[in-house]
Amino acid sequence: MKMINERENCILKKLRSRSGETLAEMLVAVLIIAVGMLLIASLIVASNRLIAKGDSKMTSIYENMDQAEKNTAPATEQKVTVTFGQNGTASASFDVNVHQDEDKDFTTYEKKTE
Amino acid sequence: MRKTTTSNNSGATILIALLFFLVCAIAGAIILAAATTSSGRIAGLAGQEQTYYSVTSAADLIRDDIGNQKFDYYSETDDNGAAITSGVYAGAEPGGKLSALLSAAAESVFKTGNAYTDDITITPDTAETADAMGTVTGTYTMNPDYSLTFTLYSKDKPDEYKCTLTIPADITMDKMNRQVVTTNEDGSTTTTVRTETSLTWGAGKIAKVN
Repeated sequence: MKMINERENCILKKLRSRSGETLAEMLVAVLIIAVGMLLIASLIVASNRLIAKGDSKMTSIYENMDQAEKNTAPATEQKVTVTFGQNGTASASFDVNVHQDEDKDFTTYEKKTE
Repeated sequence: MRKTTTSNNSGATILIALLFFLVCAIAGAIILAAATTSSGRIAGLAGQEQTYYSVTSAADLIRDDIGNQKFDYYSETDDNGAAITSGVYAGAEPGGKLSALLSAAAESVFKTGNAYTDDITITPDTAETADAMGTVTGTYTMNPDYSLTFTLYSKDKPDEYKCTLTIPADITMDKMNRQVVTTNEDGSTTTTVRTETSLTWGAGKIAKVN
């Protein structure tokens, strides 16, 4: 309790005091505050850029997912092998249309219609 | 000593400035951490969805191939019940690329009356596609009612997405017996019992396994 009163008195004394800080002290303090403000400003800008990038990536992912669902991404003819039987003793080769979007996010395939 | 340290005003401005700097740094770090976490989550989303598409593509391929395939099988026994012959009627073999899978499983079910289970693996032939999609693996079971159940998942990420493909069988004849009387060259007759099963696989359904 005594210590708190002492500190309050100290703050009041400082506020009532007509003497200022030294020039050097003020300059250093302003410099530190300026650096701090610059730091937070640059972090906000960087974070904004990250959010914008994430937003754009999210949009492209949803567009590519839509293409994958509908199998409308550019297609190439390829083969898919299905192996079955004990120890993979039998196999069948399928002609398929492989769809992959431009960003190469998603790849799907569908049986080629004969 | 303590009293002089707490009541001394010199250097207070720099301390306040440093405190302000610290607050700025902490606030900035929190903002950046939140943005980075959110960005990382988006990158992971694409990978998870690819597993879903790989497994679903494989299930679609199997479903499209097996749907509407037929199976007509018979076995013949003599008067004493001894097996004479068995097989698929000529031209009535299951079609499609997976005819061997269907024939082997259905023949086993016909002869034993028990479910038939085996492994299956689906791999794209092109290296680039195989890298992007991975190998899908799993098991398939032909139940005693000839319906098929495939359980499929990614070989590399088995816990990410798992699905079942269920293909029903429409049985028109189930081990139906009829007597076949054949007249031999010497005029005598031979009586055999022919047991027949005829079915068609229907449209499969894909469902997620929880």
